[in-house]
Amino acid sequence: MSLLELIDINVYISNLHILRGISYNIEAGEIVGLVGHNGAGKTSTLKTIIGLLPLRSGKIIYDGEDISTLPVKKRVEKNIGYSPEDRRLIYDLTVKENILLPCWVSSSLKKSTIEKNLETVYKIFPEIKEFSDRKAKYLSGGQQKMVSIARALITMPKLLLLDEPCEGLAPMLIKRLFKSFKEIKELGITMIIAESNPSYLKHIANKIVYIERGRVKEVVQIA
Amino acid sequence: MLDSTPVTMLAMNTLIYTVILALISVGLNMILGILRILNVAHGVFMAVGAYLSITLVRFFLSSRLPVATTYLALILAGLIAGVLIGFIIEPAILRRIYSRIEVHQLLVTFALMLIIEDLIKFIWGPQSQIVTEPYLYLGVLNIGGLSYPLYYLFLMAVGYLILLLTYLILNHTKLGKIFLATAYDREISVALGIDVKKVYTYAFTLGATLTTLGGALMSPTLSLQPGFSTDYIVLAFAVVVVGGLGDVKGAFIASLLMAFARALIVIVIPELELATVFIIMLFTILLRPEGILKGRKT
Repeated sequence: MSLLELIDINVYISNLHILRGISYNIEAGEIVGLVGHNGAGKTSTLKTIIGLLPLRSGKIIYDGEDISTLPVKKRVEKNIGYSPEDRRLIYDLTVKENILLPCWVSSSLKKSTIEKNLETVYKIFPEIKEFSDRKAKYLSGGQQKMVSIARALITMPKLLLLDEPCEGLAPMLIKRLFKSFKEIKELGITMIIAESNPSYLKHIANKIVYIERGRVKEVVQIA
Repeated sequence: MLDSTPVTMLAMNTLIYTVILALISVGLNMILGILRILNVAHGVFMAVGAYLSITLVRFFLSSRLPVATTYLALILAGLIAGVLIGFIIEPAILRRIYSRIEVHQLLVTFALMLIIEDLIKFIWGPQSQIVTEPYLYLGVLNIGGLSYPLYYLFLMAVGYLILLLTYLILNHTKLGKIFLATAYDREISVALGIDVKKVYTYAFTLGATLTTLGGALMSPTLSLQPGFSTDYIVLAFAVVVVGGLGDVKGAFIASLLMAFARALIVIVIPELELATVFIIMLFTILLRPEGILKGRKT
């Protein structure tokens, strides 16, 4: 059974038809690359999965359940993590506080689980531990990307949505990030990574979904 | 020997006026910062706290409870009024207008103000309401050649304690940090699992309660008449502008600045009391439109 099935989803922003009948499946444990130019509909697809954009028609089946009309909070409670394109950290909170925010509002995570998850996050991104008490506004762009991913990871979601995690980063840092993605995959977490540049994804993704003007152009199974 | 009376008067009036202004404007600015709504009805919440406190004090006295217990009645009335207002008005009315244009939001809160003002007249009548027992009971204190009712010291002690508690809640608790996150970025807060509807209700209730507590604490010093809170809300708007829209710390500092300016001008040229406050507001808008704590206009 697929972890996520997008079935003929159509999304509008005002009167603009943004996603036009998007359909594809994602198996548990896969890394799926969502590739397309700017404005192709990558961010809108991720926002639709997490529930920030409402469906006009179609269905989203997650873990065997139709979540098409569920509010965002319910989807988050069902273990979907989201790291947005532009990081969106809360600048006046420390790095650690930013990462722990989703835990503070989760009713299902025990203190011991949160501590264990935080250690796992620090293991994947050891750099973060060093500046965990620094306010987010004092971080570089690359550091902010890591913190944003760490924040989405802290609840150990089943499905992790990463929007343009490499955008604006130096090649060395991108390489560093992809090493972390492999470690996240080893935790059994399914990932959808939206990227403009497919070359980054070829060594790591199980599948690449090419998207153009709100439509799936091609699905390439890699491994 | 120099006469210390004007200095004492300046210091005392500044401290008293600061706490009153801060209780109203910190709540107003918190609501603006988190809910992104300019609540014109905020001043009338203060009136509800004040009127309810008079009723509760009278109830305590008619129940033959000692006058000393009326101080508890004042605080209780402020808390009850704030919680009732917060948990009724935010979910029932404000929640429906967050996505509306600002003019609609202003008109709705303006309508709320007029409706509550009329409800006050309906419940308590148009005549003046006075309850002096808590004010007179504590007696008078002589400081620097001036006689000050000790009630003002009680008002300051409780008022500053409430403001300190608010500061601690906002800056040193998870709830405060969740408020901050929601104020900062509503969309990402939702995506992180924050129940923004709940946050709005709690933040609005806390903001309203600061004001109702302010009204309740001030009620023994005033003769309450319908519409009395209008003067305060106008001043609170000036404080909010000077402190920076949505900036809670700025609201407190602006309250202190406005209170000092007002206390000083009352001693020097009392006719310019109100003008001084609004001159400061005017210059802030022209030179530092984001508030005195923020950078200069570029």
